[in-house]
Amino acid sequence: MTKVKRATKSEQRKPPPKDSAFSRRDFLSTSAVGVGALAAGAGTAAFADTIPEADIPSIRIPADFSRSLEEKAAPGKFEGRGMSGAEVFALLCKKEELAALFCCPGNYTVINALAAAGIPTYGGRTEGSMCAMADGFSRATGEAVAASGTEGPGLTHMMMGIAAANAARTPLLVLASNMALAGDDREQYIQTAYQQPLTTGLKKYGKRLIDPARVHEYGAYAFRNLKSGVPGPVHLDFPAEVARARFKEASQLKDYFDKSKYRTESRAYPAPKDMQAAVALIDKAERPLIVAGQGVFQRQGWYALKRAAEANEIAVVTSGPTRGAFPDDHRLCAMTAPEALLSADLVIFVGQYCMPSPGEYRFNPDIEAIRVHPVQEDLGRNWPLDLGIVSDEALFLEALADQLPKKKRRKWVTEISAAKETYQTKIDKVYKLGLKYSKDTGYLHPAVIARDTQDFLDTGTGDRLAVVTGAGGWTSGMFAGRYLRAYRPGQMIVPAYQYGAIGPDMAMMMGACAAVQRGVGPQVGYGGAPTLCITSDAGMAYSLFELDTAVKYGLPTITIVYNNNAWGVWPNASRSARSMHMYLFQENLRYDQLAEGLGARGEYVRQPKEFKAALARAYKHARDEKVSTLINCQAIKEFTSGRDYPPGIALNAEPGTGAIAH
Amino acid sequence: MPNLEPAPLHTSNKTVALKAIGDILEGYAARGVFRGFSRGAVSGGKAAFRIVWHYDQVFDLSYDHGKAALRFRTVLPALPATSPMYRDLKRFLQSRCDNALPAHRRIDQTRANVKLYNRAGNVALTLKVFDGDSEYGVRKLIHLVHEIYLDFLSDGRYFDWLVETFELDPDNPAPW
Repeated sequence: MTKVKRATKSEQRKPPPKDSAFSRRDFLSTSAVGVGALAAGAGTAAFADTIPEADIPSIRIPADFSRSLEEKAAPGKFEGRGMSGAEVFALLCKKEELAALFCCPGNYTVINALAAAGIPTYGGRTEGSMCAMADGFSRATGEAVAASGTEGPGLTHMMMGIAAANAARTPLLVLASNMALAGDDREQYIQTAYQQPLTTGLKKYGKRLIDPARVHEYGAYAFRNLKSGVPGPVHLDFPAEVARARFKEASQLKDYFDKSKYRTESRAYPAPKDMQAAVALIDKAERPLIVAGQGVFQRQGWYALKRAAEANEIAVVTSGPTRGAFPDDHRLCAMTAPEALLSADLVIFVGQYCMPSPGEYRFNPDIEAIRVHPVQEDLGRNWPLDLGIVSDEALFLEALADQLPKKKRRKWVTEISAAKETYQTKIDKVYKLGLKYSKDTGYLHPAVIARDTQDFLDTGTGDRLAVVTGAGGWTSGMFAGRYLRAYRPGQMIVPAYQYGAIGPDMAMMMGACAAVQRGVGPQVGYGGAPTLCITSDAGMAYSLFELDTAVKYGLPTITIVYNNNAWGVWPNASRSARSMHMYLFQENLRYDQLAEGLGARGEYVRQPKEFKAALARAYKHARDEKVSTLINCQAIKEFTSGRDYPPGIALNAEPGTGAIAH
Repeated sequence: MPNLEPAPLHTSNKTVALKAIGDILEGYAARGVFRGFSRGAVSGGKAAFRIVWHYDQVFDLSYDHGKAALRFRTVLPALPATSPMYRDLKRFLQSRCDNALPAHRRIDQTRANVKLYNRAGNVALTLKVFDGDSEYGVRKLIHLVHEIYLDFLSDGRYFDWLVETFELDPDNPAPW
């Protein structure tokens, strides 16, 4: 394992030591030897012979990094030099309690102003992953967050992350600018691009700021959209003329007034006659079910949800990019009861922002539907309704809890309980098969990884509520979805939700980890707990380098990599000539060693016993030392195939514990 | 309210029965269960209906009042009679009539029976009602086909079959 050093106070004052191994002359000589040795087939051992281990300096966190984090905030002010447009915007973000900024350098004036204003900031290795980190932070908390990169390359690298955030309705503020309006259409030097058209279809609101005096006004536009109605990405584009403009007094800024004037916290309350109709439908139903969507999490409606469900014995499933608003182990929770979903005779969608069509949810054809949504225009989209109610989600649930009569639904509760047992038996059987396959082949099956991970979280950590989890990858994500559980709001995020991106999951969980360490929103009280991500070797290419970021900022993450040497969708090539090569990687790649090279711990495992031990060590290091670990679980691609290793991969029931689409 | 256990529609009047079945099916289209629906020819106590449903397939449903039978000509294609998957499907069908299933989900064998037929890999499904309650029959049949697609076919062993048979994008094998 590579031990990362933090610079001591005295080291922080010294100039960096001159490492002879990194001198230009030595690099040339060693690389020449290395190339010659490789040509002769001697492999990389030649490098080890040339540079003695003792001469290789340790990975360490720069003194300047630690010093920078310890500096006091220095927000802009009108006095003296005056405030820049970026500083005006940063102050507005601070007053709006922007939860964090995740970025790569670029858009310098704006990101520096946000950091100086005292907003928690994180700098990383790729804009795409930093955008995913911001998204993960928000999914774990419900808070508005920001991501930033350079005008052209940075923004285009962020596209997958913005699209994923848009699909998940994340309140993500996208900031990416640098260039000057004066350079428009002249291809002046580098990085010029028209930004707003690039994010068309991927945002709730966007604007290129033109008039410097309106920078505060458009900041208000941004937060009005981020914090009202159904959230979604907001993309503000700051040309240099706006970001660098100077303001010496408030009168130079248009609409420069407080958030209490430019947006409202007022929320729609359900109409009394709509509530009467809802209560009547629920009362007549024998097997009602609430689908508590993202809006319930965003509006922190989980207490009212529990009160309403328990009062009338209504079953509950949660949906959306965040899990746990209703505990999986509650007797009324149907997340692990797919068989019971088909029995429900009334569904009440509350805050379901991303609406499925009727055949996409595991409901019977005669089910009636109520939908509660804050925006009227969306009611009736995709799913024909028996009753549509315009309301804030939390207010509706509170009204429902107050107005529903107490009712016992013994048969329905018994049916849910039986369905849970059936599901558990089914996944236990797959786990046993996974153990057999692991023993037979000498490689770890994904069901074993997923089930043993949750078992460790339940029994091996001392607090099963502490660790926030998430899973991605195709094969690994599908299996993990069946076994991972959420017992409190924000305890699990669904990185692949709706957009289905492979790869951002590891970075999203690092963002979630930042939220946990800061104790933001529902993560309050869990500071110090690690986050855990089950992901795939395919996903590694997208997020792995952010281990450097996690280590730098002391974010304790555990990443479990299902390494099956291939894209999980390889079966699509199995009956097509000359196609398979496009789906395969080199076999037995060592992601654990890459992690060590980035300053984290690495573990390599192939058997269940090894995996459990590695997970326990990873947890201990994360909890006690804030050290991140990557566990490389060597597998084989054939575990994906139902033909080779039944049951193979299968789509999980929606809604439910492994749902990713809606 | 949902009518999973509907009041019996006992009628010997074939015109009334044919219209009632068409109305029930149209109701499913209005609820978004079907993506498309049309009534076909009616003659001699027989009626035909066309439904666009799972995986955008066209399902042809016929009703024969004289035989009190509803029939989907092809409920699943490309499924050889000798395949393990067809054997599993027959078992699944039996389970839908089993007393282990809650009463509201079960097909009551004293009121109706269901049978599969395999013609060169095309699987037909027939439901016959015993007591003239055609509403019970049509609702149970629609529920059954729905469960075949949402439940039976969700097994991982059939994922490749689904992708190949319906030419799905494996990254997006949504039922619509």
